[in-house]
Amino acid sequence: MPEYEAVLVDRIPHPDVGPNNAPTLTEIDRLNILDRVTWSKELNNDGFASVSTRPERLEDALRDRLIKPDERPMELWIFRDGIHVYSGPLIGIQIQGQNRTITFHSRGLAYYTRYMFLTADFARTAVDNFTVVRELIATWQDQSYGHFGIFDEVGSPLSGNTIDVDYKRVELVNIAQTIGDLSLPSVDGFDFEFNPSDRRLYLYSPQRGTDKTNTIVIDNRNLIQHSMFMDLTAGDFATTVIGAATAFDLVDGPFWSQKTNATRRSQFGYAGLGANWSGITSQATLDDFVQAAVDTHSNFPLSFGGSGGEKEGGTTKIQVTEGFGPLDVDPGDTISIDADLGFGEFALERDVQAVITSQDAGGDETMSVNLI
Amino acid sequence: MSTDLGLANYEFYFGVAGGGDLDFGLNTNIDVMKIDGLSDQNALVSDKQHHNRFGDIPGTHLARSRLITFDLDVRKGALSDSAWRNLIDDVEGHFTIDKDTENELHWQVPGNSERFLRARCVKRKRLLLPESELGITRIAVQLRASDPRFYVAAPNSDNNNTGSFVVTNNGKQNAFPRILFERAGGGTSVKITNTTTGVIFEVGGLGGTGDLTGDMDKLVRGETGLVVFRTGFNDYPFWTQPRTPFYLQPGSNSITLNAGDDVDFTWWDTFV
Repeated sequence: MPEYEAVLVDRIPHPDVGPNNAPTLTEIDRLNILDRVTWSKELNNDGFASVSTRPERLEDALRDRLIKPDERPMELWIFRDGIHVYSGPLIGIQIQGQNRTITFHSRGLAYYTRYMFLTADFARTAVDNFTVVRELIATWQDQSYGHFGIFDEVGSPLSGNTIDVDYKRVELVNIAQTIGDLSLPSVDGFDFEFNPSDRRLYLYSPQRGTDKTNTIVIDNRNLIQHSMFMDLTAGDFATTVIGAATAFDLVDGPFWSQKTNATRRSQFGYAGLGANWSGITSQATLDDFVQAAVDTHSNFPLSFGGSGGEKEGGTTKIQVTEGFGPLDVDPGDTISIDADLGFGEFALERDVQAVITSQDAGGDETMSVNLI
Repeated sequence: MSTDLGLANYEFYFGVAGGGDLDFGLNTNIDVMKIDGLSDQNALVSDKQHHNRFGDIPGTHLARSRLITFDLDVRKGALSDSAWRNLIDDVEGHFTIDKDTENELHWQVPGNSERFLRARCVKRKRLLLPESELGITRIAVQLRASDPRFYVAAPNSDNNNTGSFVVTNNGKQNAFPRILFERAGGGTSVKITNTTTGVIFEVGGLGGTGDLTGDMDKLVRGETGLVVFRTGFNDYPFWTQPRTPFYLQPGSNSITLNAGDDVDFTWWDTFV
């Protein structure tokens, strides 16, 4: 059984203007008697954590802080067997009188970028998209009290994908939203993730992930909650995909494309699905997207873990065992599912979008993986 | 009160030792007629259903809190009526629902040293019958001990250790000691290693002077208050990860002092 430790951390913002004025982060004290710990690691998303305990077991040093979290902000850090697995700002405190519990809600480090906006126009020409992301964050963090203690990856590696951007401050440009837009596959984007321990932003082009299909196999022995759905609904299953796209600059295009899975068409019949893209730069790019869509939508219409709609993925809950836990799988990894859940043995491979881990008061640790 | 001198065989007490405690058992007018659950063990089962197979996926099993029932006969004996009624009130006064404080339940049986656990009264029952007016009143009480472990009442200590030394836990369970580092020579870190179990306790980056305490007993019982500290300073943030609670396994433990002047241990031999 892993030992969890949750610590609340004092964050004192730095008044100086300029780079490298990170806030002072100091551990205050532990949270006693954890009723429940839940934390996640997610790709291209904030991630979250929540920790529940008993109000009467709060250390005085923490209790004194809780009444004014706006004046004395805190972060929640979680350690699993001494390994720092989660950091993020404390964004909510919930007290439930009936059950006598107090729950601390936190979002991952990426959440800080939601507080950040452009206060001046920002234009770059033929600049690497990783550099653009770092400069967007820096414009806010270099301001007085604006640094939230998130850093660039050591050496600031580049993707090789240069882009032009021209953001006007009157567009109310939110940094989190903008990073999300820049990461999209339609603009040759990237995957991103903040490391909870070194607080650095790691960017992966085009995608993060390791093929673990031979080493991680979810099967009948560790699956504890799942649902499967055979999805042949119009809009989810098709043997041909028709795509339309508007161009980034609104000058070229619009583009149109159709791709067909000829084999499946001869088996199932001619069944179409329409899809829109925006920000596409050429006919060839749209053709690639439409081909990828027909490859996905015409094959094995099985939704695993979700409530329907294969492309949405869903949650699959797994028992953490001695040899397999949340540190063994990362968002972006490809894993295998090989199980007989009622209609025969099947095997498939899926990408992991998020890993959500929970330990309850009984010491039992379970892990949910969101599959794409 | 006999508690300050230690209990005689088959004597019990519940409450705050040396004052405000209730003695019962042998040599008192409160006979213990039945004890149920004092040595029971129950697990919190967290096995999960095993799909399409027989049985479950094994989960973690933790020890549940201990539930102990005492049937007590409060005898009039040679007492006056008023003294007897007063004794009944006294028994009921000690076994009342307590919102948040656990009291120590001590007992002594032949051949063992005095032991205790910490418990709260969760139920009390008195049945009034004609015979209960004839000199014996039966009061049944139920106690719940959130920490099911027994401890030997008299703590062990092993002080002023330097270099490598051996500490012996005569219990049957891991004992979590209070560790006191004496830091007369200053220095910014303290560290001990239990080379028998591999567990390390290290605090680094200390500013200032003063002896440092690591209270593993309080930590593992989930008590509030400082657990790694110097007087007036909370040094918990300086405790080096992984913050595995330092323990003494049953039997001998070889300990090495890696940093600091000398170290004292205080622990309670532990049973379950």
